[in-house]
Amino acid sequence: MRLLIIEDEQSLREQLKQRLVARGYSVDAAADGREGLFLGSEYPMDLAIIDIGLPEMSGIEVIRELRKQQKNFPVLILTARSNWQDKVDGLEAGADDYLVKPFHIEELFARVNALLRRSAGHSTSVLEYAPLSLDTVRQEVKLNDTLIDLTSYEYRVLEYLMLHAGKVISKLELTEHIYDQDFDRDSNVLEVFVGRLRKKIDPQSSLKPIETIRGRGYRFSLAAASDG
Amino acid sequence: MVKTWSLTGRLIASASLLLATFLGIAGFSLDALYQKRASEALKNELLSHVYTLLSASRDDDNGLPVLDKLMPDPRFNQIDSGLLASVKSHSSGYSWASASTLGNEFVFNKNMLPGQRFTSLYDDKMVLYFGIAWDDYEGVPNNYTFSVASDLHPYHQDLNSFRKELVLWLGGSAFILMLVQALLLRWGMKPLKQAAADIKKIEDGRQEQLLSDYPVELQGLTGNINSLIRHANASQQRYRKSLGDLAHSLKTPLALLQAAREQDEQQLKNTLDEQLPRIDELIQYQLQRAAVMGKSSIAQNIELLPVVEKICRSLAKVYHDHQIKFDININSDICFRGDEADLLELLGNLIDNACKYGRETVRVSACNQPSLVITVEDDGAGIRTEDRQKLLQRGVRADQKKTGQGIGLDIVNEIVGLYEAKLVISDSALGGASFSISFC
Repeated sequence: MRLLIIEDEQSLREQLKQRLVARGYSVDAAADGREGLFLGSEYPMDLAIIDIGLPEMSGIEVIRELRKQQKNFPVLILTARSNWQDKVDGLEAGADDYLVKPFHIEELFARVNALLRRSAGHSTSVLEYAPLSLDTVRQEVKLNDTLIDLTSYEYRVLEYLMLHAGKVISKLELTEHIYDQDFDRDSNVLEVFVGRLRKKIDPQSSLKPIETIRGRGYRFSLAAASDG
Repeated sequence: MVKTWSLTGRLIASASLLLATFLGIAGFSLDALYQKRASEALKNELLSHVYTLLSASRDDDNGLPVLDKLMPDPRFNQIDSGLLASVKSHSSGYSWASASTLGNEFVFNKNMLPGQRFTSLYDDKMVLYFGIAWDDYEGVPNNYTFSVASDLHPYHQDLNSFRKELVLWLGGSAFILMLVQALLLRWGMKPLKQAAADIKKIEDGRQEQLLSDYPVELQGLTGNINSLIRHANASQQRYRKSLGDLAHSLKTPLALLQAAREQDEQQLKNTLDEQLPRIDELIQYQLQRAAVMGKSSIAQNIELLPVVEKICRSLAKVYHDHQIKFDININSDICFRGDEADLLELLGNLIDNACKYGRETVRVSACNQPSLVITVEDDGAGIRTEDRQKLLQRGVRADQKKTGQGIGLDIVNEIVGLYEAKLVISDSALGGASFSISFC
């Protein structure tokens, strides 16, 4: 999942980026509204975390502009003031949730997770596609109730495919959402990841949960167990 | 941007324009009237000269008029006197001209039928032609034209001196009127200057309010300024008090943190986990408490429905997973009199709580008969009767509460108090709690 952080306070921005990267997200960070708007308009983001009190261009304006450009990824606003005027203004401008500073980083993870899930159309945090299940909060994958050991990148690839189950995801889209802008797109590292992932989640090669659609990309094609 | 004219400027400009117009019209009409009179008088004079000529003529052998070389009026006899006369017969060729015509280039060139008269203006003369019929001894009528011309020079001179005097008089009165106007303006503007001076005194802290002896037209304005000042003073005091409270209430957690320096790592972490949220809550609570505007005589009427809809739209996003159904029961003509931020804070906290504790339905209703009552209800577990009183207690400071309870209801209590309203907690027909605020 590719996240955008727009936060002018350097220490907070770097801390957030570090913690989110450690959690397996690819993160682009901007220090002001203009740069943030540029990144949000130019790159396929899955979610943005925007501070309302930005210099030059306020967070509210950035959100309005993004929504005007039909960028529909979820937006979480950070506000230093806990008054309702700010919250309501942000939500009315197009944000989806708010968090008042200071906050626990776990609270931020929970909100980000819920928003990502919600935008992919899932209402619970565990995606069940028997015999596979993926817990987006714990970032764990189980096969027949046995934990599978996945690397961070393998988990990200699987989570993205499962959140968009049934849809064909091109290699380009997958690359863009898994890596930030500095990634070398020409390498075949993605195919290697998918190959390893298949071996881990389907050792007998009997389920074939990840289909390769020739010339188009990959598709996660197991049927949902409980919710879609 | 167009520069706004000063009041004095406006009054002076308009009064001057009016004065100029009035004096202009007066001068112009007086001048026209005088000119008309003078030329009438001149015409009459010419006519009387014709009569003089008629009476001075004698009959000749045929009974027709002849005039002597010298006339009784010396001006007819004197060259360059400015008065010329001529008598001409239309048939016999008799022609007489006064001695004053000698050397003058002016020619009498019109013949009039009997009974006709004609006045004409040349550049420097006014001429009267007068036609008569004169019967000779045989009773045959002969036509004559008697003509008199008078120099316009004295007439012009007269007119010029009149104009000079007119300008003098009108100019003088304009000057006096302007002077009077300036004095009146000074007098009329005095209360405004007084108000500015009073406001300056308030700025310098030498006075607290605008005094009440202002003219009735200004009393609305000064009254509003006074209530603004009172309002600002009250807010300032609230800020000061909040700041004092904040400083005071931060002392305890700070002391605990200071003491924690001596503790081992785990204990230190525990203390931090306890005290940091507490400090955060204290800051939030006091800041928001200070920011409440409160009831004010200059408050606006804010339509309630759009504000409630805005909050519900926002909260529907935040509580997306709860799938809450908002049931809004508010007529579009119901208004809240006060500050919009206060209203947002009040309803934001109440509706947020209702979403948090409710299951699937949150109802917001309002009526304004006889005064505004806003009710927020949910279908949650409700609030026990013994807990209700505790929730409503005002002045229970956030630092005396356990952390984690949230400060939303404290802020609601604060706002309700400042608006002199009443908050009642009861059971809702939906099954949960009902928070009802009655304004008076």
